[in-house]
This record gives sequence, structure tokens and C-alpha cells, in this order.
Amino acid sequence: MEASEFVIRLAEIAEAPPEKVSADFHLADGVWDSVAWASTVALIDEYADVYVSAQELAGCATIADVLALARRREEA
Amino acid sequence: MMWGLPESPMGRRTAAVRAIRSYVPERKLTNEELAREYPDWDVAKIFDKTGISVRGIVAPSECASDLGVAAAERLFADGVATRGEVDFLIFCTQSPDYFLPTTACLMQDRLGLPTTCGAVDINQGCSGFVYGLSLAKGLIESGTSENVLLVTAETYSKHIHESDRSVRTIFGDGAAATLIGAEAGTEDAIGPFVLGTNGKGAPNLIVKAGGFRQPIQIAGEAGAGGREETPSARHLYMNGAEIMGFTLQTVPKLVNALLQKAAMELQDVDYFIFHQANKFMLEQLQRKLRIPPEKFCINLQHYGNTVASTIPMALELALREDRVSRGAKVMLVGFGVGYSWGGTILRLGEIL
Repeated sequence: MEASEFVIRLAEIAEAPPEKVSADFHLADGVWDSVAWASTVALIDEYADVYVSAQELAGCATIADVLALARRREEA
Repeated sequence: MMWGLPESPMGRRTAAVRAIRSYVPERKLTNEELAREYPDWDVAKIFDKTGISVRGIVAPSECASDLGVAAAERLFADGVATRGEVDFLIFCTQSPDYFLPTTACLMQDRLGLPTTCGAVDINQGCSGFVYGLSLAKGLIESGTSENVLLVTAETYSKHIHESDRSVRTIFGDGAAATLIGAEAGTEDAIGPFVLGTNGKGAPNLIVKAGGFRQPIQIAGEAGAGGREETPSARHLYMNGAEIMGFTLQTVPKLVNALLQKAAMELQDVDYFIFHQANKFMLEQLQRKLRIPPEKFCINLQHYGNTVASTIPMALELALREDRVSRGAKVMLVGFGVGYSWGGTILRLGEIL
């Protein structure tokens, strides 16, 4: 999965309005609830084949933060 | 050759699934009702996220044993077994009628099973059907029992706060009764098994209050039966993200370990029935394991997640819809609360 697709799919999960789909989208401006977190854990697993905890996700403010977290865990 | 059981010309004694019947309570909770309560989730979105259209919900006076008895009565009504043939009852639930006695003892009487019948409860959740099969196989192949009735039943709706849509949209109440009997065969009809446990995951799917660690006071507390505005310790708590992570980490390893133990390849399995947790999670597992979609069961639309009963309910439906037939090798995988997990392979004979 390309990073650009990751951004689009995470934006879908967080229900970002179409005009605001970008890595800078603030997750709190969308739907960032427990269901979205579960979907994001699965998305990161698909993107990088790594597991991130709910606690780690809680530290992410934007889509770019989540992408960076996935990449850090992938490299670790 | 099994220890103590000599080979016969017909092969050795092996346990096999003979029949499955399920029961879902009459009262139903639809996506339309849920959409009215959670205005930012419409009907299509609830279905899209869960794969569920409708869930059975018990009446306040209805217990897991009532659902279990109703499922078992269907076996007897359809004539697939007589009451006198059952010589062991395993009741798998996390919602017993009482702290004591054992709910299976009450069910022996209600079902009119012989007093020579063994009866025991096992407390296990989403892995419970696989665990129950492993115990039934042991009872039969050791010569202890001839016909084991494995009943799974759950009433999670009693634990769910109405405001918690993350669990209310997913779980449904229901029961399944599975008859496992002895037959002569040259290969296992059930097995091998791979089981596992990680109690570190306990806090992620839990009802904290109601046992002795955190009792519910009888007098003057809403928790004793009154209505509370927000979820409390007596309600089901699920950390969905952690459960998703656990599942995606654990289930592929379980599947690979089971294939190795059974000396099989993924493509040797005709059909995969995983615990029907929710559609999204199942799709992730199917993708990750590269299982062809036509071989992978996603069928929880009419029941929801009925915990230990999802696997037998899905198998019953697959048989009825001719998606599996005699001779098929079916992989069953249960995983969830505990954390607890287990997998096995059925070689289907004639299942009524």
C-alpha cells in the first residue's frame, strides 16, 4: 500500500470531509472513536504488518502522525 | 493406535459431530432501531461496519440456560437423538443462572436427560465452542462417554449499556446445541487442536463487577438492577483497538500452527469458519491469511456476534445452504475474551 492510499483510507475511517482529505487532517475534527481506532489498528497492520496499541494511537493528532507511527514501528 | 483402545478392522474409536441446532431469542434489535438511537450512524453505516442486520435480544426474565434448552429441544424434536442417548452435557457460558449449582445440572433435569448423564459448565467466551469440542473428543475417545451434548449459550445483552454503540451494534444473544458421538474411523473426524491463552488481555474485554473481586451491592445501588446514565463496572467493556490488534497478531499464527499440526496446507482446507466477531475483523483476517473469499465464512447478518455460538451457528447455516458437504475439511477458529483462542479441523461426516 502506498502512503497516499494510507492517507485516503485513514481519512475514510475518520470520516474526513472530501475537501479536507490530506495528511494534515486533524483526527479530532472527524470521527475518532473506539470503532475508528480498531479500524486504524487493522489499517496499520495491512500497511506495515506491525501492531500498534490503542495507547500509541492516542498520541496521534493527525493522519501524518499515524503514518509516521506506522513507519517507525515498521523500521524498528 | 490410541492408548488402551486397540485397532479394530473398522478403525479406532473417534469422536464426530452428529448434529447442530441453534436458537435465537424472539425479540430482535434491528439496525433501524439502532440508527434512531445513534443519529450519526445510519442503517447502511451500521451494516457496513459490522456486517449485522439484526440481533436476538433476550427478555429480562430469559437466561442463557433457557436459550440452551430451546436449542437442545430442537435436536430432540427433529429426532436426531433421544434424550436417553445423551450421557454427558457440557454447557459453555459466561452467564450462568446462579453461582451454584452448575447450570448444566439444572439443564439435565429440564431436558429430561438420564441421571446417569455427566454434566458440567465451562466458562469460556468466543473460543468456547472449540474448547468444548476438545473436551467432548476427550470424553468420547477415552471411552467415558458415547454421546456428548455441547451447548453454548450467551446473553451479553444483559451486560451492555444502551449508550455503548461499539458493543451494542455487534453482540447478539443466542445458543447452539451440538451433538458429538462416537464412531469407528481411520482418521480423526475432529482434530487436531491448537489452544492458547494470554490472561494479560483480560482488561480489554471484561465485565468487572458482579463477581467476588468487585461485588455489586444489593441495596440502594443502581448497579443492582436499576438504570444508569453511563456505562459502569457492571457493564461490558471492550477495547476494540486492542482486541483488533490481539486478533491480527494471534489468529494467523494459530492457523499456521494448526495446519502444521494437521500436516495440511492452507489449500487443503475446504472451508474456514472463524468466530464471527464482526465483518470488518473477519475481512482483515481473510486478507492477511490470503484465504479465497469463497472458502471463508462471513455470515453473521441475522445473529450478530453470539460469542461461543457463532461457530456452530455458522456451520449449521453452511450445511443448510450446501456450502459444505460430507467429506469436507472445515477449519474452526475461536478467539477473544480472556484472551483465549483455539482452532481445530472437522472432517465432516453425515451431520443432521
